[in-house]
Amino acid sequence: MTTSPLSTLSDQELSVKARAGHVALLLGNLCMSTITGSLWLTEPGLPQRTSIAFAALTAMGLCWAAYAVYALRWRFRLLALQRVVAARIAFTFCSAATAGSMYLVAEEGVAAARPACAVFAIMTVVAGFLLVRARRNYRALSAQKAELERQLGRRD
Amino acid sequence: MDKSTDFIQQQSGADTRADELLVVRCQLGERAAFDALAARWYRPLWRYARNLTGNDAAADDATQDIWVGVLRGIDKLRDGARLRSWLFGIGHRVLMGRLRQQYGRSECGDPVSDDIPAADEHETFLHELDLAVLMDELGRLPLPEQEVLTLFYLRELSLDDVSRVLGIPPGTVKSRLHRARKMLRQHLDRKGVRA
Repeated sequence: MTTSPLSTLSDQELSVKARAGHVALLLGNLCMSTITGSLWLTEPGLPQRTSIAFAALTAMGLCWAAYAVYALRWRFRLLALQRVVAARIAFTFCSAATAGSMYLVAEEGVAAARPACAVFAIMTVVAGFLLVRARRNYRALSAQKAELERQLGRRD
Repeated sequence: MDKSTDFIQQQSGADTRADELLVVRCQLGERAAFDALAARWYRPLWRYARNLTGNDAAADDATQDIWVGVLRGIDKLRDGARLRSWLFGIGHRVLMGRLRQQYGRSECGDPVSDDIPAADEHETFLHELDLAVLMDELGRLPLPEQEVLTLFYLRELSLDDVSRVLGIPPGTVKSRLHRARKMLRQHLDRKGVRA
């Protein structure tokens, strides 16, 4: 009877690499689906085969994003600090995508960038909300940790 | 309140805070806290699994399943002071799942009763029995009775905690405890052990 199998299990279950990979998978596929979806829905005069290809790419991207959400929800749940880091990455990523698509709309007049810009803006707001919530949760847990350490330290 | 009771309560409060601290550190994402949690709770969970499965290999497997449940659910545990009942609750679900798979049967419900075990009855019960014979006979009881006695007497969970772990009302815990003690006494009487 030893705790070492549990330590191995913890290494597998708490893998930072797996978590980072799934966060990247989620963000990458959401952005890709937004771009291909915008082109598919707004680009005039696309050949039928190109439309089908864009639709398929959008669907594939959304499926991968759904898988990443599922894995992060049930298998590789993010802990407090990881949530802060993931939300920061998502916010930076989405802000950059929003700025890029706004530039295309305003300076280049690309019509297909309009829906993408709207979707990216919504994603940025959601990422900002998640970042604020993750930071608040992290601060609350850190304060709770400090208080418990103080109580246990005083007893000793 | 005498000094020894006061000391025991202080120790118990400190243990609860130590558990809370471990939970908070795990929720923050400190890898070392998970090892500390395993070091603290592996043996009690293994013994609980061992009591119910009856062999070491099955207890090892069950404890690993319990640990996966802990790793995947610790961030959802809102009150770290309830760590003990939360852990044994996961243990209960894992073990029942395994036993259902093994025997293809489900737990049967129990009637609710208000038969509360008296404090002195509890004390007498524990002190008058020979532990080795008790453990042997405990293993022969039906699973629901075995489990409720294990959690209440051996793992020292409160009635409310046992109720949360097993997912049944406190009244049912009391009636199940009463029935389990009665059955155990009958077993021990047959063996000539005074209970």
